Amino acid sequence: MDPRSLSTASFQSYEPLARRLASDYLDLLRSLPLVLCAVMMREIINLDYRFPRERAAIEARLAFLESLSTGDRQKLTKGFADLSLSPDLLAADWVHSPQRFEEDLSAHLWASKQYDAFRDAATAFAQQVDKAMPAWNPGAHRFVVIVLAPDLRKDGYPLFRKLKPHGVFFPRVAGDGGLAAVLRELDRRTAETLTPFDHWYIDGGGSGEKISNGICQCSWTGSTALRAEMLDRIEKIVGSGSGGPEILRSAMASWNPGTRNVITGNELVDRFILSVYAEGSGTQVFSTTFVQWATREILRRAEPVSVVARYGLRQRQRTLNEMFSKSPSQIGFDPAGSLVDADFGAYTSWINLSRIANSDQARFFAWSQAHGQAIAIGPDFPRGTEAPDQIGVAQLLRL
Amino acid sequence: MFPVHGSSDTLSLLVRNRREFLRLASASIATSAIFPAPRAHAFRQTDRSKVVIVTFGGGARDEETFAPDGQENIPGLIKTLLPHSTFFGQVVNRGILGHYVATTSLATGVYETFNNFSGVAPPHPTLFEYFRSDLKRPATDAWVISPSNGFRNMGSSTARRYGPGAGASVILPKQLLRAAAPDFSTGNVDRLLRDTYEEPHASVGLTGSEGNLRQIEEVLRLSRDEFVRHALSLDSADEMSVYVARQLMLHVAPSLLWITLHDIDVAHSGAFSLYIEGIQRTDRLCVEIWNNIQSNPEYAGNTTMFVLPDFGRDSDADPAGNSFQHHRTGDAASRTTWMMVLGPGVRQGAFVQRPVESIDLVPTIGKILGIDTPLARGKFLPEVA
Repeated sequence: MDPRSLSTASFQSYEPLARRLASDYLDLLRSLPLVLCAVMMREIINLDYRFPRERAAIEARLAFLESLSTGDRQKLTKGFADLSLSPDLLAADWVHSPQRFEEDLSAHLWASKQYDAFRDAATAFAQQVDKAMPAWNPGAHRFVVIVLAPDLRKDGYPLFRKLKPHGVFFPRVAGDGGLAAVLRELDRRTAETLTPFDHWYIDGGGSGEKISNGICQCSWTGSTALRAEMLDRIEKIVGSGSGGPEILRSAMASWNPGTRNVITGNELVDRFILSVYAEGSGTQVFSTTFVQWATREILRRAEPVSVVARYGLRQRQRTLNEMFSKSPSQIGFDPAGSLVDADFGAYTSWINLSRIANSDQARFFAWSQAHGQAIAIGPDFPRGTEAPDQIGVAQLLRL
Repeated sequence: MFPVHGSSDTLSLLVRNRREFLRLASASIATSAIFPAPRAHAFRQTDRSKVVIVTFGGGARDEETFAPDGQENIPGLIKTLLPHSTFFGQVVNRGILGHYVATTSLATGVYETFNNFSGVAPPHPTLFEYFRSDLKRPATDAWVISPSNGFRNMGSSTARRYGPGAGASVILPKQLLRAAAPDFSTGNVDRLLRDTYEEPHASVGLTGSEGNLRQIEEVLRLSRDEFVRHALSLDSADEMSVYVARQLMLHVAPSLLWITLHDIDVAHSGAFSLYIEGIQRTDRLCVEIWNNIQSNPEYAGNTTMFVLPDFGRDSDADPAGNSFQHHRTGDAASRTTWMMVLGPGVRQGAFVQRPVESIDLVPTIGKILGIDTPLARGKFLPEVA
C-alpha cells in the first residue's frame, strides 16, 4: 500500500487515541517513504496501550517531522526512500498489520543486502530526531536498584565486574532489613511524585513483600496464569509441527488474551506484562530473563524515575538425560546460574538507564543479598573505587 | 527494529576496543611462540590430506571469547589450540546473520540470501561437492554433522552441475537419537525453549527412520542401546555431535568433515549463564575434537582443522539489540569474529590482523585440498593455504 493512498478511513479499526493521532497527522504520513510510514504506524497502532511518556514522544516525533519543510523532510528520510522493496512488500497491508510488515521487511532487507543501509538510515534519522526534540526532565534524579535475592549464590564469583569501573564497590554490605529499606525508599519517592507509571517494582518471584499503592508492579509470580496460557499457546503452535520461529513470533506478538487474565487491574500495566511475555524471548521460561527484559522495556518505554527490580531463582536448564526422563516439576532451580544472569542483568539495566534523558544524574545500585556486596553508580560516586568498610543498605541508599 | 535512542558518551566507553582484543590475543600467542613453527606452505596436498571444520556456534561474541574478560571462558582455545594455530583476528561476515543461512554460506563461499528458516539446499555448490567432484571421492568421504533437522540440506546444493547426490552425507544426531529411542517423550519447557532458538524447524518434527537406525549400526558401528545409553549420559546436543564425530572418524575416517556446533545459541533464551556455559562447553569440545584428530592414525599429521564462529552477537552498546541475546542488529560485534587454523603446514603462533571474510573459508580449503572452487566468491587466505 502506498502511503499516498492513506485516508482517515484507513484508521477506522484503530483504537480511539491511535485513530485520532493518525488522522491528525494524515498529511504528514502520506508524505513519508513507505518504510518509515509503516514503522511509524507500528508505533501509532498501539498508542492506546502505551505509557503517557511514549505517547508524548511519538506525538512529538510526528510534530517535529511535520514542522520541517518538504525539502528538509525529504533529506532526513531519504535513506528510507532509497530502499528497494519487493512487490509483496509494496502491496502489503502495513496499516493494519505493521508488525507483520516489519518482520517481512526485515527478512527482505537481509536477503537483498540492504540491512546495513536501513540500519544507517534508521540510526541517522533517530539521532537527528533525538537532537531536535527536547529531553524530558524528570525533576527528581532517577533511582534504579537491582536486588539479587538471597537464594542467588555462586561462591567466588566476581560480582559486578562490568559495573565496578563506573562506580563505588561495597564488598561488605549488611543485609538485615535491606530489602525493606529499598522498598521504603521507593515508597518515599512515590509519595513525593505521584505521576502515573513513574515508579515500578519488578519481581522475579518469591519476595512476598507488600508493595504500596501507586507503585506499578510487574511480577513473575503474579503473572503465573498469563504465563501458563502463553506457554500453552506456544506449545500448541510448536506441537503442530508447522510453527517455526517466525510463525511463533508473529503468533505471540499478535496474541490478545482479552480480559481473561487481569493481573494488576491497570490496563496499561497488564498490557505491558503481556508484551514482556509476547515480545520477549525466553521471558516465558526463565524468571531472570523476565526481570531483565521487563526492566529494559520499562526504562525504554515508561522512562520512569524509580525502578526496583528483584531477581529471584530461575529454573534449571535440563540436560539431555533429564529431558528424556524427568517431568518439569522435578527440574529444580539453578542458584548459581541465576546469580550470573542477574549480575549481567544489572549491567544491562545500567546500560539501559544510561540511554534515557538525565541519566547522568541518576543513582544506580545493585546489591547481592547472599554475597553482601553492592555497587553504587551516580554523580556522587567516584568511578572505579571501593569502600571497604561495612555499610547497611539504608545507609548506602542515603549516600 | 528501530534504534530509537542513540549512544551516549557513557555508552561509547562500553564499546570494546578491538585493538585491545587484537593486542591481547597477539600477546597470548607470543608467549607460546617458542614452539617450533613449521615453514608455511610446506604442506602439500596428498591423498591422505584431511580437513575438519568446526563452527563455534551458534553465535559467540569477542566479548565472551577472545576479549580480555572473555578469555577465561575459553581456556582450551587459549592454552591448547592457540599456540599451535594461525589465528585470524578479524573475520567479517557480511551476509545474513541467521544460523542456517550463515553456516551454509560458510560452506558455499557465497553469501546466500535464502530464507534462514526455510531449510532449503543452497543454490551455490558446496565445498563438499567441489571436493567430491574434483577428487572423484565417494559420498562416504565427506560428512556433515548438523545440530538440527533444519540443517539437513546443507550438504548439497541445487546447482545444476552438482546437486543432490554429489555432496556430503549428512548426519543429524538428534534424529538418530529419536530413531533409536522412539519411546522417550520430550519435556515441555526444554522443547519450548529450544524452539525459540533459531532452529528452522521444531524439534518435535523429528522422526526416526530405518535410515537413521542403519546410520547408527552401520556407520557409527554402535548398537541402538549403546548409542542411547551414551547419549543420555551427555549434557548437550553438541556433546552428542562430537561423540558422533568421533565414531565417524574411527569407522569411516572421512577426508572432509564438517561439525556444526550450536549449543551457544541458548543465548536467545536471555540467560547469560547458559550462554557462557555454552561457550565453555564448546571450548572443551573443540579441544576434544583436536585430541581425537591427534590420537587417530587416520588423521594425525595429515589433518587441517578450522575453528570459527558463524558470526557474533549484538553488542551491549547497540540500542536496537539486547546485548548478547540476539544477532539482529548487524552491528560490528555481530558481524566480526575470529578463526583458528591448525595442522601440518600451518604456521604455529601466527597472528593475522588484516580483516578477512567468512566466505574466504571455501577457497582456502580448496587450495589446501588441491581442488577448484570456481563459484565461491571469497578469496583464499595465503597465510594458511
